[in-house]
Amino acid sequence: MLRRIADHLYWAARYLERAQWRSRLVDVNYHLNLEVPPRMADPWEPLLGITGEREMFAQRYTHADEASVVDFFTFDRENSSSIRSCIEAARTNLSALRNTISSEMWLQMNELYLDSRQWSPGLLASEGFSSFFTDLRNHFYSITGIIRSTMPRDLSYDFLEIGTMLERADNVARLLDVKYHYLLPRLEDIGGPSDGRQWAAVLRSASALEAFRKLYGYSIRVDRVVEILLFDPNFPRSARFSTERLAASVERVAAQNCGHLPHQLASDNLLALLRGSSASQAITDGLHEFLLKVEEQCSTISDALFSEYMTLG
Amino acid sequence: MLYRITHTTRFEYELPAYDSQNELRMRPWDRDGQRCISFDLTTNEPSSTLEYGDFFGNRAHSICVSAPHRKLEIVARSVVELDTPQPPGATGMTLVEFLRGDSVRNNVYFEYLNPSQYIPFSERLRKFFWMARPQETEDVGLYVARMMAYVRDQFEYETTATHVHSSLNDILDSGGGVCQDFAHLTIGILRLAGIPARYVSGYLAPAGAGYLAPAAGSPLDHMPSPPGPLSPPDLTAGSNALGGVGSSSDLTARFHPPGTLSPPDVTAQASHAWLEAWLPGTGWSGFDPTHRCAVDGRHIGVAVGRDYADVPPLRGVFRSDGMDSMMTVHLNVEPLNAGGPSGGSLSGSQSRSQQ
Amino acid sequence: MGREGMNAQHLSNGMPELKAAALAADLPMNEMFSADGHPRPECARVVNYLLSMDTRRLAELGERAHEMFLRMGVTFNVYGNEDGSERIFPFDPVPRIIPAATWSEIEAGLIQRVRALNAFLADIYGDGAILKDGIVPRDLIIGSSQFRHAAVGIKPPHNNFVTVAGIDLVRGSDGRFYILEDNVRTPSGVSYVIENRVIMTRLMPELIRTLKVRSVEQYPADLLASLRELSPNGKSDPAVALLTPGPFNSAFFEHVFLSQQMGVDLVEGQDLVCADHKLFAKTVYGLRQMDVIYRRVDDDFLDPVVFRPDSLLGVPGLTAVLRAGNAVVANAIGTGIADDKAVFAYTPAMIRYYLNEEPILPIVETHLLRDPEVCEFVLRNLDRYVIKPTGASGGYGVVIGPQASSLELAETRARILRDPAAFIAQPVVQLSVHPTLAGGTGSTLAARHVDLRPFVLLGAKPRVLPGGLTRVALREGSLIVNSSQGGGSKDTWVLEN
Repeated sequence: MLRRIADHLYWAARYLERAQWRSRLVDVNYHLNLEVPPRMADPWEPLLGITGEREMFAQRYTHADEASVVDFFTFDRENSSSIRSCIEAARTNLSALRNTISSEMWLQMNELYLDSRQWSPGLLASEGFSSFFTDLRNHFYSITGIIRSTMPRDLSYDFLEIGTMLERADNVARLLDVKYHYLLPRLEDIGGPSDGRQWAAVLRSASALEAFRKLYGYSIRVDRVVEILLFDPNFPRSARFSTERLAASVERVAAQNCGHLPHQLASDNLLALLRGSSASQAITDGLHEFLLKVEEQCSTISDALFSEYMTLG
Repeated sequence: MLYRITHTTRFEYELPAYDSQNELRMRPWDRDGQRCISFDLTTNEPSSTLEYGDFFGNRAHSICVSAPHRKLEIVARSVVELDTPQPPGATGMTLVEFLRGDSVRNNVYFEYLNPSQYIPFSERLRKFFWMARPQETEDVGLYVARMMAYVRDQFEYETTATHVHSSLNDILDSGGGVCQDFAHLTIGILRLAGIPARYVSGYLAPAGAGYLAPAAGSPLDHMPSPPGPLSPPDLTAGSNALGGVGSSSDLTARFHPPGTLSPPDVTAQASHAWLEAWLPGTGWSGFDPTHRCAVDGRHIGVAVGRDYADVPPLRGVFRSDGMDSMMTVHLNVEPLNAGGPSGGSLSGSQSRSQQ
Repeated sequence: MGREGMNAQHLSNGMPELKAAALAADLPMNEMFSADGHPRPECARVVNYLLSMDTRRLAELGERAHEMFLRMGVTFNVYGNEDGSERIFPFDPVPRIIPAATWSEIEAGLIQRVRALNAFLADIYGDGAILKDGIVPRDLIIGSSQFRHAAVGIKPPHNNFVTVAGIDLVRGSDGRFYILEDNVRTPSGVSYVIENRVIMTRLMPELIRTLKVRSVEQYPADLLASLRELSPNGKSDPAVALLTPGPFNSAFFEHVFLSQQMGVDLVEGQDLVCADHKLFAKTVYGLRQMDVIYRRVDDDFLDPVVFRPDSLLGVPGLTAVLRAGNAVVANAIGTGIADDKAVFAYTPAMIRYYLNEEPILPIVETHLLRDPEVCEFVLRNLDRYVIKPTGASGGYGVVIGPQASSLELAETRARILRDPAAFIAQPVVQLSVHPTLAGGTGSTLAARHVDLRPFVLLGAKPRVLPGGLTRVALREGSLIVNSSQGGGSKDTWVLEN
């Protein structure tokens, strides 16, 4: 497989995953603010914290109100991580891969892209928020479904997995990092009466609410939220699950090489970190520090993968 | 006359260079009173070399250095035997007579009768030609000699007035130039007159002390190759990149715009440029406008072409993450006699020294 | 090789023919209907089918075809389009039909022609016999920017400079096929031929089966076979790849399509590297040696050491690897000289010189304006000729005399006078016409001009794709069929018998 192809697969996967996370964030936050009078003055502002885009936002928008943030997150062409931009980037990367991916996958991606070209803020208003984001979610499910059912489990699939899982682990860590501190500023509040709806929203952002209820019942304890999102080996959007899959793909890709290479070590490290801890442990030691470690490891893995398989120099 | 030539080209890079692909023309030819008795090419780095003949019949070499290196040194060594040529003198044919028989020649020597990259038929050239235009009854050979002197007399020998990629318009503008420019200009005039003329790149053996010429060839002929982006340029990692190196374009080699490279540092002599004109009777005959003379036993020929663009001593591209590189050229042309070298090679180095 | 007596024969400048042709009046031939208004026998079934459709069904046919293309992403990029967008190459669902006997003559003529062009290229980059014998003027070849010095000394396997050729044919009002132009650099369009057939088998499956239309789906297999036959040093199981300039190239879709169909890697310049005078691809597990490259990158951009130094699309050192004989490119470096429109005028002479045969397919009369007498005549009758720059491609710079305004004619005259050798003149051929969906809604049929671009492969043996791309000028009266200038295409059906 050409190095450039690995690069395209990896980035296509990351952009697709990123687009899904973004759309969940926006969708959930919108509905949350409908139901509940917001705690803070700018309930949309924390989203910018999650994605680390405060500065970029401030450059062109004055106020972190709903209209601006939704626009920035969803439609903004200047924002290379807006949902629209991610879709375009994913498609561009996939268009260089047309003889690697199935034609159905291409068709589906292309359709989503062609749709996104028609988007405008006015569309949200006329179609309705829910309807827009439901459609979008279905598009994403189609694409991932097609990947799962039409792509042979070969090297291409592994690079897609690696991109997807790395993006997922990173995104869930960021989500938790910001929301945890937004919602729970004092240590004494841990384990105490929490704002159920707010935490439910966090879980929804990771499509985890129903799984949570199945495991833990109706009442939402913060440590359990951390457990399912970070450490649960079965929930598909948990950091642990993502890392297991990431490490497995890395192992398969690296199988042809002898010895343990930097990127294998890095993904093994992250896996050890997540396998070796628990929600209560991480909270006691300092959740923020733990999450920072996760994010840093993700970055190390990304760099190592890059130089091993993708750089052309 | 027997000569040993050692032509050393050295590149130093700020950050390691790799994937270096080069074309060399440094092997003296084997014909017309010149014999290349031995030739070898060495590099300080592991390299792959291929010899071939180019379109003009020159022996050229392709040298490829793949692994990263901070310094590249290419040394071409040859031993050449030169007969002392007969000075061409008068051909016994007037230019008018010469031009009458030109339809076949126009065909066979088409490329040497027409403009080329550094030899455009500009208005300035035409004026310059016209000012010393040939007489009807002028002998072809004598005309050529006259033009050679005319060019040399009109201009100063000056190393800063032009550069290696100057066309002849530059010397016409600036009033000064080097051997390359004199050759281009003379060729331009002869072509306008209908006399096939071609550019010669080679070496000048020392006549005695004092004469020093700067390098033809420049760092601009050994350029970093433009890199390719990994992903489409505007769609690399976004803002919540996983830290570290987000953009893949940071890891590709940068493209150096021309002019950021240091000028060559030259000691001793350097490559020389002259021309050959096709004359009735003698065929291709060499003339050196820089020295206002026909080629004598000191002109060691390496390659011929339409102009400099066809025969740079070294041309190539390389990849690097760095911005700077420097090229130096050392040239030693040493007369040898049967049984040993004679003294007085211009570089002042020991006899039999190898650089 | 029959060189004696050649000189006298061809060096005539064609003045008598010029004068005669200028006076002839002609009407285009209709591909589906003969002069008496009846459908041609081979078209009868299709005509009945079309007659059975009302305007609504006709329009639907066109819409369905368009839909299918859009979904499949069968697009091309148009240079200079302001949003850099991709467009569907318009497809007309009314098929163009060629009976077996007609085709076999075309096929023989094409094979003959490509053999001669190939021999010509091997000659001019080798001994140059045809130049020494004065059949083709040396200055025309040596003076052309398409004559590549780098190609001298590189001997392709089987002496095949041309592996893929796209030869443009037009049908005159006399019903004969004439060669309009050769394309032996990086001819494109074959992917549309294959995709058009896929669409048509969904739109009109019965017709195709009943008429026994010859299949085109084997082209990728034939192309791969031809490329493999080029293996350097007779290496068995050569590694083959398709070199593309990338997604921003107007023919990118075709590059993807062909590489996919052949099962070979699609590579860009940056994926390749030359080391040790061999060619390698950069894979995730290290360097993999490559042997045959089907390159869709023009010579100018192929190798920054030898050609344009600013090219991002090529591979530094590739030319040296070819010289070393460790890799092969198809088509070879330097084939562009055979596309030159002035050289075109000498192609019948080439067939006689190299093959000692008469050309089976005639060329459209081509007059070289470098001849002062010819130039003068053409300038006085500029409104009767098609003027083409010798080096251009894709229909740009072409002036069609009878359709040009007086301003355009004046400008053309000026351009010719500045550099007559850079132009040729051809009489206006009344391209044949074919019923095509027209009207704003595509609900009626109208006659539109068509041409034909068959594809010829030359490996160890020649293989010709049955039919080829029928291009149609969608604007009424227009003779320009290129995709970049408002043309479309039709499926071409060569019948089994």
